[in-house]
Amino acid sequence: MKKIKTFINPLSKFQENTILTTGIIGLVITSLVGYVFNVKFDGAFDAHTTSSTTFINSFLENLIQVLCVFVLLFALGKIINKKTRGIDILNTSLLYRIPFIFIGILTGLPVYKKVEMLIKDNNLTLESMDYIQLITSSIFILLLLIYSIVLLVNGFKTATNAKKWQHYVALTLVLIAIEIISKYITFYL
Amino acid sequence: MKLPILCPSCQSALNVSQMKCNSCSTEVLGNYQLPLYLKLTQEEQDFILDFFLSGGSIKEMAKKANISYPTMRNHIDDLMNKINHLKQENNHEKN
Repeated sequence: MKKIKTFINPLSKFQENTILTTGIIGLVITSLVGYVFNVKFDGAFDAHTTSSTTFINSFLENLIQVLCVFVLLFALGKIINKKTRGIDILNTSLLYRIPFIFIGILTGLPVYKKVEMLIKDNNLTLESMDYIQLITSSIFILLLLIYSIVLLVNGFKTATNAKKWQHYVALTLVLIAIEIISKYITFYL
Repeated sequence: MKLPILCPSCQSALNVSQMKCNSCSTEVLGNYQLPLYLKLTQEEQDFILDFFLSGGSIKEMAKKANISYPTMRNHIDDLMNKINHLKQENNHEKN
C-alpha cells in the first residue's frame, strides 16, 4: 500500500534534492528520446511525430513545458497557500514529465509515421498488424498520460496542501491554460 | 494507558469530574474541562512533543518520519488548524 502511495506521489516521500536530480535526468532523457525517435513535445500534455529534430530543439521544447507548468502552478500555489515552496512546484513540474520518456518512445513507433503518410496520400489502408500496434500503443500512451496527470495533481496537492473543491477547479482551469500557453510558445520556437 | 477524551457512547468531549490525591486520599469533585493539549489524540500529543524536542525543525522531523518536507509541513499545518479550532470552541464554551 505504501509502495503504491509512493508510486503515485513520490513528492510525499523523497527529499527534494533526490527528486530534483531525478527530474533533471528525466528531462535530459526525454529530450534524447525526442531527438532519437523524431518526436516533438509541442504541448504540456502532447507528443507528435516530426520529420526530424535536434537534441537542442527537443531539450528546449521540454524545458518550455516544465517552465510553463512551474510558473502557472507556482502562482496558483501561492494563492492557495502562502507557504508553498518553489522547489516543490519545480519538482512536480519535472516529475510529471518522466512518463513522457515512454510516451515519446511509443509515439516514435513506425506505425504512427506510416499512418501520417497514408493520411497525406488520402489512402488509409492499414494491415491488421498496424491496427494491433496502434490500439496497443494507444492504450499504453493513454495510461502513461493519466499517470503523468496523477503525478502532477498529487505533487501539487502535496506542495500546497490543497483540500477544498475550489482548489481543484482552479487547478483544472490552470492545467488547460498551461496546455494552451505551452502550445503557443512551442509553436513559435 | 490512554486517557479517553471522547464519550464512547455519543462521541462528545469528556470533562473531568473527580481528582484524587494519592498521598492523603483527598478527593476533589467538580466539572473541569480538559486542558486543550489533552483534547488531542495521544499520537498528536506525541507529535507535538517530538517537534518541540527536535528544536522545531520540520526538516529533522521529516527525516525522522521518513517522509518529505512538504508532507511533514502539511501535517503540522493540519494540526495547527485543529488546535485553533479547539481554541475557538473553548472560548465559545467559556462565554
